[in-house]
Amino acid sequence: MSMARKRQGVTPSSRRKFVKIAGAAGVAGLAGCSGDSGSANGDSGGTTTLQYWTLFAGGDGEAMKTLVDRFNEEHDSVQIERQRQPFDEYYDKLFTSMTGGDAPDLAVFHTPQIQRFTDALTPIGGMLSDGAADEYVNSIWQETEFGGDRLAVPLDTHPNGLYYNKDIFEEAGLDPESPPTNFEELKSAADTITAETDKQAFSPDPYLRFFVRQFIAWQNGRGGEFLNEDNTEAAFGDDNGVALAQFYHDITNEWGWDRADSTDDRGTKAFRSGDLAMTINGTWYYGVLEEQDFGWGMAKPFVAPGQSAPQTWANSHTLGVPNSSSNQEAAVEAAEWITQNSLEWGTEAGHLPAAQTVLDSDDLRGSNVWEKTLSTFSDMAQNDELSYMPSTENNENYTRPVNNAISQIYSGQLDPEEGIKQAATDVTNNLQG
Amino acid sequence: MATKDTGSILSRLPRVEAVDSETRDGVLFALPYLLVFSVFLLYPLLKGLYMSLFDWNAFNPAQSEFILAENYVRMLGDPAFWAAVRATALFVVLTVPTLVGLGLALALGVNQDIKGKRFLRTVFFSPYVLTVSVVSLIWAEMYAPQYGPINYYLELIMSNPPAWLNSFTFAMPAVALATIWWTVGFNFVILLAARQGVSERLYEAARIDGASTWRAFKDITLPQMRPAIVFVTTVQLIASFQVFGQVFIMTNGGPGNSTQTLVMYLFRVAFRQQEFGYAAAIGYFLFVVLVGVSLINYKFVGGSD
Repeated sequence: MSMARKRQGVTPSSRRKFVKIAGAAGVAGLAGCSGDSGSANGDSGGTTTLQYWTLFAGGDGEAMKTLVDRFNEEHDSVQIERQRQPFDEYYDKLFTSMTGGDAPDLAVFHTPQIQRFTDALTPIGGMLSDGAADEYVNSIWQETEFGGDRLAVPLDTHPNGLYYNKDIFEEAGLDPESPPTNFEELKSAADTITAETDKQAFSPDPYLRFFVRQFIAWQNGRGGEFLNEDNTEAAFGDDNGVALAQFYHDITNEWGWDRADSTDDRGTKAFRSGDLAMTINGTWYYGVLEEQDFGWGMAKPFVAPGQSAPQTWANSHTLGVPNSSSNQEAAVEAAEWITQNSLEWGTEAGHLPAAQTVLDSDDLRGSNVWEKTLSTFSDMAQNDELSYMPSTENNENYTRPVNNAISQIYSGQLDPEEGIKQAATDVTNNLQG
Repeated sequence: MATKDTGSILSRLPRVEAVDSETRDGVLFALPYLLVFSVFLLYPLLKGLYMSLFDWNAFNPAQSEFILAENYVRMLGDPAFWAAVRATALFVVLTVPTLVGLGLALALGVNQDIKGKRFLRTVFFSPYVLTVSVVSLIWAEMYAPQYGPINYYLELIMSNPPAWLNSFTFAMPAVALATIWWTVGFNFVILLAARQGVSERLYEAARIDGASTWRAFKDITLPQMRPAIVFVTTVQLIASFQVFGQVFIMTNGGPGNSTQTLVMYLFRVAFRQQEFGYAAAIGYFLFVVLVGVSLINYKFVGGSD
C-alpha cells in the first residue's frame, strides 16, 4: 500500500525536478568545498599575522617559543602565530595543507624533506636581505639549496653523538671520562659493562626505528657509499653494508649488549631510566639528559667497525615559505630573523646554530651546552665529518626498507647478510619505480 | 460531453497539485541527507575513480597525466600491495569468526537466567565506547616488552617472553586480540537483542518434543537469529577489511611490512609517497572486494530478505 503510494508520487516530471534540485544542491556543496582561502589572509588593521608551523616538542618547543616570543615583542607590523604539530604526523599534515591550498605562511622542514615539497615552496632567494648567504655557515647553506633554487633558510644542524651514562661506567669500573673512540674501545667497554653490571651496554638507536640515520654515516665512514652518485641505486649491499649489518646483529644476538627487541623507543626509555649505558642520538638529547639525575657525557660516535674516514649523521632544520602564502615577504623576513637570532636554539635546545655570528658568539661558547656537547659537534662539523641523508623525491623509498631490515636484524628475526642485501634491492626498485 | 470533460479535468487538478506538494516535501526531507551524501560520499567516490586513472599531481592537479588503467596494472604487479592484501586477509581471518562467534556466545550466555546479567552486559559492551587511539595505546602498553604488564607477569614464569608487537609471528594476532576486546561488545549487543526477539514458545515446543539443547540451538536459535548474524558478519567483514587505526598506532605496519594492511598501505602511498592516483586505485580494489564479499554473504548466508 505505502509502496504503491510512493510509486504514484514519482511522476516523470517530478523526478526531473528532483534531479534538478539535487544537482543544484550538489553543485553548491562542491563549490563550498573548493573554498576561498584568499579571504583568510593575515592582514587585519595593519598587522600581518604569520601562521608558522613547527614540529618541536620538549626542549626544542620551549626554545622555539622563546625565539617567537622575542620576535613578536620586537615587531609591531608582523606577528607570528606558532602552531605546533605532532612530530610523527607533521609532514603528513603539512602535505595535506599544501595540497588543500591552506598551508601556513612559514614552516619548518628537515633538509631531506625539502625536495618532496619543491613544487609547493616559494623560491625565496630574491626576497632575502643582501648578503644573506654570508651570514650562515657555508656547508649548511649549501645543503639547503635545490636545483639552483633557494627554498629555505637553515636554522641549525643537528648531528648524532655517542651519549653515555657516567654512573654505569663507574659501576663497571670504567673511566667515566674516557668514552670509547673506536670499535675496539666500544667492544671492550660494552663487554665490561655487560659482565660487571645488570645494565644494557649499548644501543645504536634509542628509538629503534631510525636505524638508517647512523647506518648511512657508518657506511660512508667505512669508505663505502649508501646510494650511488646520482641517487638512482642502492650501494650499501656491498661488503661494508654486510659488515655493518653483522655489527647490528652481534650487538644483541652475539654479545648481549642489548635485548634482541626493536620495540619503538625502548632504548630511550632505558637510557632515561638509567638502564642503558651508551646510545647514539642527536643534539636534542642534551635538553632531555640535563633533566636526569645521573652523570652523562657525549663523544664522537665513530664506534662501528672499520671507520677509516669517520662520519656521523646530521640533519638540518630549515624554514621554508609555501607558495600559497599571501604574506611571503613578511614570512621570509621572519625566517631570516628567527634563524639569525637563534642563540637559545643553541643554549636551550642544544642544536648547532646555522647563523655564523650566533655560532661564534661568546654567549654560546661560554654556555654549559657548549662544554657538554656543542664543542664536540662543532668540531665534527669543522672536520667535514657530517653525513647528510641523500635528498630524493621521496626519502621513504630508502628509509623504510633500511629501517625495517636493520630492525629485524637487530631483533634476531632476519639474517644480516640476506636482510641488508634484500633491503638494497628494495631500495633500488623503489628509486627506479 | 464538454461538461464531463471539464469535470474530469477539474477533478484531476487537485490531484496533480497533491502529487507536486508531496514530491516537494519528499525532496525537502531528503535534501539534507542528499547534500551530505553528495559532498562526502558520492563526490569523493567519483573523484577517486577519476583520480585512479591519472598520475595525479597533488600540488598541481591540472598537471596530472592521464594514464588510463596503468595504476591498476601496476597494482597487480606490486609485491607490497600483495603483502598488504595478505596481511589484511590474515587480520580478517583472525578477527571476523572470533568476533561473531564470541559475540554470539556472550549473547547466549547473558541471555540465561544468571546473576549479574546487567553488570556483565555493561562490562562486555563498555570497551566499544573507546576510540581507536585509546584502545591502541592501552594495548601497546600492555604488550610493551620490558615495562608492560603482560610480559612482567610472563617473566615470572618464563625467561624471554616475546616482544609481541615486534614479532613476525605474534604482531598481527596481538593486534587482532586487542581489536576483539574492543569491538566484540557491538556484536554482542546486536545478537543479544536478536536472541531476545526469538519467541520462547518455540523452545517450549521443542522441549515438549524432547529436543536436546544442541538441537534447539541448531534448529531454532540459529535460523531465527540468521538475519542478525548475517548483519553482524557483514558489518564485521567491512570493518576488518578496512582496519587502519590499530595497526597504524600499535605497529606502524611492522615488523617489516607484516602488519601493513591495505588501508595502511593506501595511506602511505597517498600521504607519504604522494601518489594519489595509485592510492585511489588501491581504494577501488578494496571497494570492489567489499561489495563482492557483502553480496556473497547476503546471497549465500543471508537467505530470504
